[in-house]
Amino acid sequence: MTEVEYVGKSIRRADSVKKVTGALEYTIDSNMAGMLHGKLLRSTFARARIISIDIAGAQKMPGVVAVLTASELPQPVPRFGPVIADQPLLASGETKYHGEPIAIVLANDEDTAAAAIRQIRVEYEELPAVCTVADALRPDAPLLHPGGKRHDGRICDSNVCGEFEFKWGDVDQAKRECARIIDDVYSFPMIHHHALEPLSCIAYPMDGGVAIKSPIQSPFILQRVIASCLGLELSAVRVIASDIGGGFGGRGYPKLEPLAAYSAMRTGRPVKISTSLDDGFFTVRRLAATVSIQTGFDSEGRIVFQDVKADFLMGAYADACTRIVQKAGFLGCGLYRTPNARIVSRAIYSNTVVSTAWFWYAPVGVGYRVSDECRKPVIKNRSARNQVAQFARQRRGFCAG
Amino acid sequence: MFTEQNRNAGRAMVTDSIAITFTLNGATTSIDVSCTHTLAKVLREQLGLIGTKISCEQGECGACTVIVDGKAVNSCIVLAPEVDGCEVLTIEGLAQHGELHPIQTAFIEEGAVQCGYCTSGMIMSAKALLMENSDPTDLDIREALAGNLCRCTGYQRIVRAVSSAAKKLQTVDAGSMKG
Amino acid sequence: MPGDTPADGDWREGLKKAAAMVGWGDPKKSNVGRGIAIGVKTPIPASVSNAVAKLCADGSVTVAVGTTEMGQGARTVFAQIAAEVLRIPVEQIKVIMGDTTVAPFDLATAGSRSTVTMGTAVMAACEDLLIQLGAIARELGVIDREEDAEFANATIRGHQGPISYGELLKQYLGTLQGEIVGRGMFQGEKDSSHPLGGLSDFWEVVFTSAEVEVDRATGKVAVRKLVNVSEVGLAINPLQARAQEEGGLIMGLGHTLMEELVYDESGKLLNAGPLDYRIPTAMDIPTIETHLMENRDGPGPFGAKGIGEGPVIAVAPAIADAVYDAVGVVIKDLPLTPERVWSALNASGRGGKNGN
Repeated sequence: MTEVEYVGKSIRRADSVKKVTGALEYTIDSNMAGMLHGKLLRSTFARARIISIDIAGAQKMPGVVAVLTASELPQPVPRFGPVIADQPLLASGETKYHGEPIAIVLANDEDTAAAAIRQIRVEYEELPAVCTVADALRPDAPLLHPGGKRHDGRICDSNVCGEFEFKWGDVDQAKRECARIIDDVYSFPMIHHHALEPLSCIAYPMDGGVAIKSPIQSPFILQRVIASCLGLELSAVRVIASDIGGGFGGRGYPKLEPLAAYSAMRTGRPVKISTSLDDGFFTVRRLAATVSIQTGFDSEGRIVFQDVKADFLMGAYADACTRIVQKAGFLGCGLYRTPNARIVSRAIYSNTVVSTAWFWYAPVGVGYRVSDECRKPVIKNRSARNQVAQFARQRRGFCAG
Repeated sequence: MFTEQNRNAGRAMVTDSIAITFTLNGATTSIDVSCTHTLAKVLREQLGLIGTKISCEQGECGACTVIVDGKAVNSCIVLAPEVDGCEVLTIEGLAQHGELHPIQTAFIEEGAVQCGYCTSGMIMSAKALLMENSDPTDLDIREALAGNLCRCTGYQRIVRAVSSAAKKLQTVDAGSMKG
Repeated sequence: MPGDTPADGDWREGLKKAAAMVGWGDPKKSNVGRGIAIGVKTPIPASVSNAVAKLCADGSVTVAVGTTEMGQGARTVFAQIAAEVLRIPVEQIKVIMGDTTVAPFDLATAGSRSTVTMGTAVMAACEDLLIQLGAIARELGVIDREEDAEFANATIRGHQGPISYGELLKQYLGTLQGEIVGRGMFQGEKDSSHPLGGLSDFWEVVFTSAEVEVDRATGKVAVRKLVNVSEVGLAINPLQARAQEEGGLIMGLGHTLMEELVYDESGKLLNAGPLDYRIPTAMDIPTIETHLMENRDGPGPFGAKGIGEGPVIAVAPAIADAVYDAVGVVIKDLPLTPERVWSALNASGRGGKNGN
């Protein structure tokens, strides 16, 4: 091959002109003839029994085509999820997080849909919610998914959705033999991706199936999840991913699309669900984590073992969190050559907004403590520069076996 | 800025829609608008100008920034009747005769564009700044853009792009390029 | 973990570079500190990406991929790879993205995988086109053997001189009937004994350093400089790559210093929305510097690796490390809000006026 002409060159982005002139059409900018506008009613409690939903006032507004709650959906209510299909199209019987969609209004225009939402009357019975790892793991904690499936296929008998263990060597033996042990606990809060483009999607009926336009990072995952949720063949589901106004892992998995797809098939018309930035906070977030690390050192400051317990606080539905937690645990020993290790990472349900990937499955929980851990045994008698070298020396051969 | 037009706005309080006339990207535009619709909604849905993006719809993120009578505003919290008699400039009005404005070119060349969702608003805020201050410092630029949120770029390239555009504009005849 | 793909790259070089770029060892005022950290992550193991490249009658090309564009620049990167392999101007390549009816299966746009996985598939699809063009040329007698096919400037060199791709298709298939389709696939190595189902295709490795100044009286951490060095193998588009790294750093800054969803005891979210949930603005950014280490040792096209997510990982430890260096407190909870830092300072007796 002759000299490189394009690779390694900073050529102009292919979409740059469209973006600086505002010409790029994101999903929220798109419309279709005959389109219905969908607006969501979200729960005002984290956990509550839905005693009644009065949609009569909304239904009779001119321009309202349909008002759907769980009662109007097929029974049992269709559920979706990329790993465990546990999230209902609309909250069924009980809301599981503050902001969970409990009704959708489908109307001829956006103003009517928004006005109709305000006509819906909901009677709730507030129930105790669990929002921390400690609360979720209490023996008497209310279970988010009693009878539901865990990651390993077993039935949920606690709020632990998935538990993963990685180990090599003999940690217990190493504990008995090491010269010094350090215990640390690190915590990471819940945060939100805060992409600028609000969530939206347009679904329309297509040849016995459905098409969906969405700013989804992974169109084939969306295709599979919708096909599974609505009982369609893959070939009957077409996903057209639009340019995404910020992904960050928060647009990786289906959120509003299954409901839009169902609504389109039910009404026979295109359906656009559009939201604003705030709605994103009630749709998706990053996992929170509490990471306890016990590290043992020999008399020369070399790591002998690491005993890691990482508890990840998921939201109310699984999304892909079990896989995320598994992967985070996999890298639980961080960068250090660790001859003996035990890592237990758990994904725990809570009555908070659904959590998902953030910068995909970044092992943030592990990365944080690296510097602090390594610093401690050496800080007394080495300079910072030597410490940097210490990192490098310890790091070599990290994964060599 | 809008007080002279309050007469019309006052009348609008008792009707559902009102006729307004304003200059949009240099062209006189007369339309009927709903009294409850924002400028952003009218631009995007009534006039088909999707370049003004919506995000927070609370005037916090700056994605919807347009220029009204020379000032950068969040069009999502400006009611449409308020621009009666005003001069409105949107992202669509920047490029002239198919040629990009220097701010737009600078954004491309500095790598200040990634997902693009904040870009329209950023460029309009920058344009408003340069109309007022043709030689801004980095701090001036950052302050002018403080109300425009971006999640992709880390802002540094955007600031650099505005600075670069300012220098470019200073070398151009002030009469031929309006700010 | 024993037995996995070794974490690759020259870490000594990366650490030294990140340290040098932040001014490690330079004299500093009191309450100023520097920290450094390494971040690693892997993409999605045992994953699959497919691509289709279509050479049209006029010699222009469409490449259909399931990858999506979210600002990371994949659209441009794939066009560059295709143009390079096919030896045609990049303006003649159109990349169609994310349509499941048009594009063949791709697992996901995630995990910093696309340049390696889909890039490889795109490359293979374009190479498939070249193989077909070579076969056509031989069949037409333009060249004697397919192995002798030489491609340059959107032409194949024949006995009579260069022939354009479009002309070749016209001669072979007839006027305006010419289109050939190339297929390419990447399949990550499966390993059922591996806990994640397969070995890592590569490691995304970053070295992040930070310089901070801490106000003892308020606990506010001002980040003066944030540096990221990334092992990228080869940057297909350096401008885009650096821009991605910078963005990741500021995303990391946000989660390190200011971001937290606040729920009350009943589970209600209290700070939804940009007013109450604080993300970095243009007023919050430090001086950012990035450096790409290009050792051409990645498994992707032309030695590339994946990038885009790494920089967010090591920002928190680098800043926390710098805070320790500045004022001697170790904080293990994020975010490092002024309240948290102030409390730690006062609990350890290190609070008070900044002159101390």
